Amino acid sequence: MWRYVVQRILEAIPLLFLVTLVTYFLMNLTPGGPLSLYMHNPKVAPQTLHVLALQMGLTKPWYVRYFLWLWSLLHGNWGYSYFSGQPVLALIGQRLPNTLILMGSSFMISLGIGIPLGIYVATHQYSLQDHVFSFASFFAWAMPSFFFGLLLQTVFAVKLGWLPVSGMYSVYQPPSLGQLLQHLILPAFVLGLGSLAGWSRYMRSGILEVIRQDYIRTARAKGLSERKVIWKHALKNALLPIVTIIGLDLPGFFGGAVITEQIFAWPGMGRLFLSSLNERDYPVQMAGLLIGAILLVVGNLLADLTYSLLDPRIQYR
Amino acid sequence: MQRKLISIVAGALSLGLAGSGALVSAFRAPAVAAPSGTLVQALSQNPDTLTPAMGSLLVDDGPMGLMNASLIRLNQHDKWVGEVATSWKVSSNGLQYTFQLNPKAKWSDGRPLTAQDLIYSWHYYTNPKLHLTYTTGWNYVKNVTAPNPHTVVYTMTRPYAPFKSTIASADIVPAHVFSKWTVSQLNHGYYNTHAVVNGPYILQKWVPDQSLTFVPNPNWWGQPVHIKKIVFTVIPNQTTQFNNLVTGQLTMGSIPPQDLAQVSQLKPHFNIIRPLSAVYNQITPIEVGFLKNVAVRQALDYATPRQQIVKYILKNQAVTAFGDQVPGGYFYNPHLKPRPYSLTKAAALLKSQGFKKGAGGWLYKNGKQLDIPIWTGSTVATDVSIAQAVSQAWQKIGIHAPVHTAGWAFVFGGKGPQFNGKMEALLFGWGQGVFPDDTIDFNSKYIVTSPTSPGENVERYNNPLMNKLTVEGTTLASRKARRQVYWKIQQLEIQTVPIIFLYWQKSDFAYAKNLHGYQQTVFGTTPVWDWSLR
Repeated sequence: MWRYVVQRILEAIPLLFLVTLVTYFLMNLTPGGPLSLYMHNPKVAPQTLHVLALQMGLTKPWYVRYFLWLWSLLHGNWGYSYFSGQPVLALIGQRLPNTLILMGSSFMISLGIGIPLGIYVATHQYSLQDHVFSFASFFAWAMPSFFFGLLLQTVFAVKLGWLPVSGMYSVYQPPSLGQLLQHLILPAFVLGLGSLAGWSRYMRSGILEVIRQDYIRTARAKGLSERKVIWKHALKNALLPIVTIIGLDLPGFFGGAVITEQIFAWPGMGRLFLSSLNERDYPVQMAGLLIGAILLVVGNLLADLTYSLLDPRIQYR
Repeated sequence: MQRKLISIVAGALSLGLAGSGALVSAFRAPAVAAPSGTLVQALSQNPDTLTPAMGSLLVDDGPMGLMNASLIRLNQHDKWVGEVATSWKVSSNGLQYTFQLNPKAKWSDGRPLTAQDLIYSWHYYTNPKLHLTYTTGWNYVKNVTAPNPHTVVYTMTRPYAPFKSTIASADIVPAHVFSKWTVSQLNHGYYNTHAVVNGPYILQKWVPDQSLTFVPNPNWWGQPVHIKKIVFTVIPNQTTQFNNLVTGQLTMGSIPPQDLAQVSQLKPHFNIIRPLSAVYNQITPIEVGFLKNVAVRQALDYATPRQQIVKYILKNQAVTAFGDQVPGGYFYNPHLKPRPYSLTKAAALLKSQGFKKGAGGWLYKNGKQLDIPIWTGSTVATDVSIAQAVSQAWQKIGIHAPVHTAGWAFVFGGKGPQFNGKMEALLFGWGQGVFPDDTIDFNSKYIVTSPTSPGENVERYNNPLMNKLTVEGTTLASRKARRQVYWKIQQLEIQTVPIIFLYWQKSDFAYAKNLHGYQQTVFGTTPVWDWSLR
């Protein structure tokens, strides 16, 4: 299996190179540029624009800038933000833990509720519960997160006063775990709701497909309890499509959740990349895209490796 | 099992209903009561840097204002008063400015602030290796000298009327600190964590995208401050900011138009004011094709429904604008006769220029359609609504004016509508400074031809009289004489419509009733040492 892993990693290197080249090209093709923001600022003197263009190297052709960026990257230098002047890795390092906390929590909510819910409604197909939860799932799936976020904020923070409106910690008290958990509830739930609804639907159809298989019938005929049949025999096989989806969702953990982070003022990666896109802050944009691409490759590899754990018939050599 | 589930759902529903019933009456106290002595205000985004003259965001101003004291400052009556300087004089030819420095002035590390710091600041602002954004006017400084440690003399290459609002009010940098740092350290934000300042507060902690906390500078040499802690918390969403105000998490904040209906919730705990700000919104018609014709621009001006925009979209959080000088300000021309909103006059004017209705009911001349797309940023909902309102009014008289929205980087970017060679109109906000300099906006020397060309004359306006007036406006030494110049400029703006002015922003603003000494003016607020929380 290790040989397979090494082979996949080696295959990923030219892919990642191509991804950076294409994204750098497309980024420069996109209308606007890093100086556009200064043009919209009455306080920036006109002659300053030209000096900044020279300092940022924007007067060079895009391919020259790309190879300069790549050369720096290969030497461990991810560059500096055009706007804050700070090292890109530092900017990411300041926000990544916050994103991991938020995304991890929403992941736990989605997985912890979505999978059992999917199993429950699959084993109660066409019952009232199935109809109620199916309706609720589609409703939650269709609900725009900005609307749902503001709705929950108004009810639970403004009207009831049970939870904080936004942020990660209170500005009035020293940071603590309790405060973090309080601030986490609303954004994690809003963020997790979409996946919860989606994964429960995938799980439902996965289980429904599996429980009609011969080996499930055999298990039942052997006299195994329904709980054992479902949790031991059906679940493992029904999980395969879910694993693929989770693998593909992995880059999202790095990219953050732009809308939820905006509404709840959560200081994560989503806000960093949104502002870098708006400002055409190329070094930050490139770092985000590259790390996203790496995580996509890693997520797929992990999903493939998980298949072999769930299904012994799948083996990698 | 089924019955149990139904009872759970019913229970949840009844709880929800009970909750919603409670919503009607409930205005709960904030989850965490604000401790006295801490003032919290929101920023819509994270400041990019606190290094003097290197930032590019409006949100940098609040935090930096606490940390820095300049030679002079504008007081709440819009008059220049000494800050680091105790007095100053200007030579009769307007080429030399002499400042006497306050001998008590110190840096936050306890070192005295002397004329050497002002000389070093001049070198800093003119260093081409630094990533400086705010350097207006420094290219006119010929020399800075220090006859003694508490006197500094600026010699200019030419009379430069905006001197006070640019050079004399620029942040001063500490020579003994900055001279030890490399260009790379300065360019890459080293100052943010090692700031040595001369203002009333020092930065205690900056958690990116979360908050910036300031505490009183122990070596502050000016009037004592009363607020023990000032926190800027970063909240990008306007409604979330408002919700933080309602729950008492903020001491002050703006009220966006969409939340005006709920302002009554704030009244028990907040004072609500509606100050005029020096920011105007406008439409810039790019002078290409038919838009080169003054009469066409005048017709667009007639067909722009300012009053309706202010009343229905902005809910009166604005006043109509007809020129670029702040209404009621020293340079504002009170004798202006703006065009009224009149689609009839607009249509007649276009007809007189040879435009006739053609295919689809649109106006044409010489077989070419009068097509003026309106572009605006996609991030501000009110801008989009205003663009739509203007578009509808223009379309009523046959001008094809579809609305396009995009990020600002695109709207102002190299491949954006500014540079596609077509007739376009750009809708955006623009600030007027304390000194009303129109040179970069209207002088033909500053016509923008590429994203890096020096200028902000986006409209490509070229008028010899305006060129002459804008030069006079920055070189005449007499303030009264300059006022006459700016009156003429405003008259010319109405006559020739380089820009279609829409409104001056006048947003509702709430501040806690226990905050005393706080006032907003057009260009700022009362100084922080006047504020107290009781």
